[in-house]
Amino acid sequence: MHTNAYNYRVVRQFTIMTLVWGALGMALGVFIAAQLVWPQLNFDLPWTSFGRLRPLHTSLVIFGFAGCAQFATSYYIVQRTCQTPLAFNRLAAFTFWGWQLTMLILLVTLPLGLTTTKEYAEIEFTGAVWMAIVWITYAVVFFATVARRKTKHIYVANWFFAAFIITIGVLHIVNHLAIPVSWFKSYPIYAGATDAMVQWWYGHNAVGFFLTTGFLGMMYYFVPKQTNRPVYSYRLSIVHFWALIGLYIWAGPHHLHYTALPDWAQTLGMVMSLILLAPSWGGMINGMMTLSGAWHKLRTDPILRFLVVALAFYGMSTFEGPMMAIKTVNALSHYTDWTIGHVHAGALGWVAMISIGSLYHLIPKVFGRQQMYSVGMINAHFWLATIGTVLYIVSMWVNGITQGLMWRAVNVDGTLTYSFVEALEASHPGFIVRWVGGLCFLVGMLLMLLNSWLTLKQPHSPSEVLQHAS
Amino acid sequence: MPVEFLMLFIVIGFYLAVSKTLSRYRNDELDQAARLALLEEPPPEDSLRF
Repeated sequence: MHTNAYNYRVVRQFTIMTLVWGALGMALGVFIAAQLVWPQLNFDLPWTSFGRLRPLHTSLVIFGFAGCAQFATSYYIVQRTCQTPLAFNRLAAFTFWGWQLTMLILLVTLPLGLTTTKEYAEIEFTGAVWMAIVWITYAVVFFATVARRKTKHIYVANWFFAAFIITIGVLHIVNHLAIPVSWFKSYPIYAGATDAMVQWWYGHNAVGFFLTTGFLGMMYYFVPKQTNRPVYSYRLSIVHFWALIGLYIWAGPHHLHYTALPDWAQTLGMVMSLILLAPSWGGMINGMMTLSGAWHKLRTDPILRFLVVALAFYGMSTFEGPMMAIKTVNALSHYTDWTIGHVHAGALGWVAMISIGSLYHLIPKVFGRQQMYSVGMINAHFWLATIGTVLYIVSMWVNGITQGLMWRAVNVDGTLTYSFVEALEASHPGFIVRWVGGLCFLVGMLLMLLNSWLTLKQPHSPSEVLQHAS
Repeated sequence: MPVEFLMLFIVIGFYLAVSKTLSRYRNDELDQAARLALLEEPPPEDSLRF
C-alpha cells in the first residue's frame, strides 16, 4: 500500500483534455484554412468569420492543447524526478478546473468579438485575471513540490519548467495590464510603439517560453526515458538552459522590423535572435545525441520517431527563425505566409510532435496499461503528422516568397507592378496545399484519440489487477 | 558607454557564471543527475480514477 502515491489523477485529467483541445483546435485550424480556399465558408456571419475564428484557433491550440500538455507532463515529471508526490493536491485540482474554465471563457468570448486584439493575448480583462490566478496557483504547486523533493539535485527538466512558469506569469500580467471599463472590455495602459513593444516582448516569449522552454523540459525527460539512456551531455543541458532563457527574452523586437519602433531596439532584437541559434541547437543536439548507440530503435519504435522528428523540426525552426529575424530578410518575409509557415513548423513539427510522442509514452503509464492499444496506429499517425507538416511548411514557403516578391515589385516609373489582389490570387494554390497538410495532421490527431480511447477500454495491466485484489 | 561594451561584459559575465557553476560539479555527480530521468517507479495506486 503506497501511502505517498504520486498524484496521477491530475496528470490523467490534463492528458485527456490535451487530446480534446488538440482535436478541437486543429479541426478549427483546418476549417479556417478552408475559409481561405473557399471564402463562402465565412457564412457572412460575424461569429463564423475568419477574423473571429483565427484567434480562437490559436488560443485552443496554444492554451488548450499545448497548455494542458505542459500541465500534464510537468506534474508527471516533477513528481518522478523529485521522487515526491505533488504538493497541495487540492490546488493542483484547482489548476485543472480553473484552466478548463479559462478555455471556456475563450470559447465563448472570442467568437463574440470580445477581445483585446493582442495576438495570443486576446482574452479580455476578467478572463486574464482568472488566468493569472490559475497560473500563480500552478507556480505554488510546482515550486512547493520541488522544495519537498527527496533527491538532492533538481533534474534539468524541472529547471526548464520553472523558467517557463515564472516567465509566462510575468509576461501575461505585464502584457495584460489594462484599465477595465466592463467585465470584458479594457484599455491597455500602454499606447503606440510602447504597446507594440510590450505586445511582442510577450508574443515572442509566448513562443519562446510557453512553446519552447516548457517543451524542452518535456523533451529532457521523455527522450532519455524512451531510449532508456541518460541525456547525452548534462553539462550542455545546464549551459544551454541559462543561455536560452537569457537570450530569448530579448528577441521580441524582430516582430517589429521597419515599424515605428526605434532602430536600436530593432537591431538589439535581431542580434539577440541570431545569437539564440546557439543555445537552441544546443538543446536539439543534446536530444538527438541521446540516441547515440540507440539509433536502431527508430526502426521499430514510432514513439521515438515522433520525439526525434520533433527535434529535427525544432532544429529547422530555430535556424529559420534567426534567419527571418535579420532585417533585410524580414523586409521580404514580414506579413507574408512565410511567417505562418515558420510558426507551424514550430507548432506542428516541434510542439505538437514532441507532445504527441510524450503522451503516447505517458498514457499507458498513468492509466495502468502495458502499452497503447495499437502501435500500427501510432506509426500511421507519425506519417500523417510528418507529411502534413511538410506540406504545410512548403506551401507556405512558396506562398510567402511569392507574396513578398509580388508586393515589392515596382515598375520603372516607381508604380507597383501587381495589385494586392493579384498576389492573393497567386496564393490560392498554396492555400489548398496548406489545407490538405493541416487535414493530414488532424486525421493523425483523430487516430490518436481513437487509439487512446481503445487503450483505456482495455483491461488494466496484470500488476494493477493484483494490486487492487490485495 | 557604448552598447558593445555592455554586451561584452554580459557575455563574459555569463561565461564566468556558468563555468564556475559547472566546475562545482564532479563528473559522477552530473552522471547521477542525468539518470534521474531513468528512475523506474511502481504503478500508480489510484489509476482507475479520472
